[in-house]
Amino acid sequence: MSLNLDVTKMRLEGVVGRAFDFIDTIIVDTAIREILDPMRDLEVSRLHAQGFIDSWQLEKTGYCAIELINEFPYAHLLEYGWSEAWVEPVEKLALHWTDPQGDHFSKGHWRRGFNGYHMIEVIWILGFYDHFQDSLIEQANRFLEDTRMH
Amino acid sequence: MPTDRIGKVLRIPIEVIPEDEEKLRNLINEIKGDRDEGGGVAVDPNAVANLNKVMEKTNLKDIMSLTKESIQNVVSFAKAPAPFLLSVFLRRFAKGAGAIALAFVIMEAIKFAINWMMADGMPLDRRFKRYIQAEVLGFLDRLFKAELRQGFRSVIVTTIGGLRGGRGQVSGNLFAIATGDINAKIPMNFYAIPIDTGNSKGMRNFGSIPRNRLHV
Repeated sequence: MSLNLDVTKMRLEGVVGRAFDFIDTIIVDTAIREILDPMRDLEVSRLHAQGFIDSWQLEKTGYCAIELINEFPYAHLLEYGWSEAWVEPVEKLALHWTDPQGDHFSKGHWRRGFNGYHMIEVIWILGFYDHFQDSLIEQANRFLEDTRMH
Repeated sequence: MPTDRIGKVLRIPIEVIPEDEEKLRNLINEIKGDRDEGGGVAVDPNAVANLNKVMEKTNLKDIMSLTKESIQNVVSFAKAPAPFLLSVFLRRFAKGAGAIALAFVIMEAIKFAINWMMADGMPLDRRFKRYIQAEVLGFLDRLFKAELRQGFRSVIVTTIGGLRGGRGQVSGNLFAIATGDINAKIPMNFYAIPIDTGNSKGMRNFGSIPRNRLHV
């Protein structure tokens, strides 16, 4: 009698594939739990712009790959900031804008700069990515432990 | 302020499988950990040979052959049920009243098959089918769908009348608790403690649990 050991052999050799397949199924949930939610809390505590906070979203871009996306119109500016700059009219005689104090005119003035939130660096420094990866590895190990052959 | 950066989408790719080969190897080692050979999860080239040795020593071989035989039976029944049943019954009732028993059994089998096919959720289920998920999705905008996909929102489809608005009314479990109807509308769970709101309308009073409703 010949024994069919194909399944056994595949199972023994396909550990990494199984682990990554499992990671692919849990990656979004884990990213929400380990990156997105803590990041929102952090930004709320740092009084960041509400539109910027609300616009964070996760997208699954491929196998075991996700992307943090912020589609807020000023997201790029708020994240990286801008430097102090001299603004002056190019075609018109003067710049004009209104605010609650009234009308303002300018022939040219310094616009103050902004340092930026730098959330990408901050969550890297605070170890959100590491927690994310640790959580994935822990869950994958638990999965392999649960589905091991005895 | 640089205006060319307005409207630029911020994208941060996160990839679990790194392109760097050494990093990938480290990650795989971390996932595999240090598992034993018998555990069945180690990538050991001698594992299959070891398993063969174990099978030669123990009666695992017989067990596997037994399962193989039963699986073959299942497969043959799935491929051609009628000849399989016929062969089985002819084998069992060969001596006595084989034909009569077979006729009765076939009648019962046909009845059972018809009932099974027309049961709830089966292919010949004659009730009108509705796919609520698909119907609901048609009424949602893209933002809601995106939030739904990420788990920030949820759509609850329920058959419990108390959780839905009836006859143009707005209803919810808050109102159900306030009016004390929650115990009537949601079936009693054996492990749940029923909450009586007493006479305090509009306020949840968790303090007064009636003694006669507690099954401790």
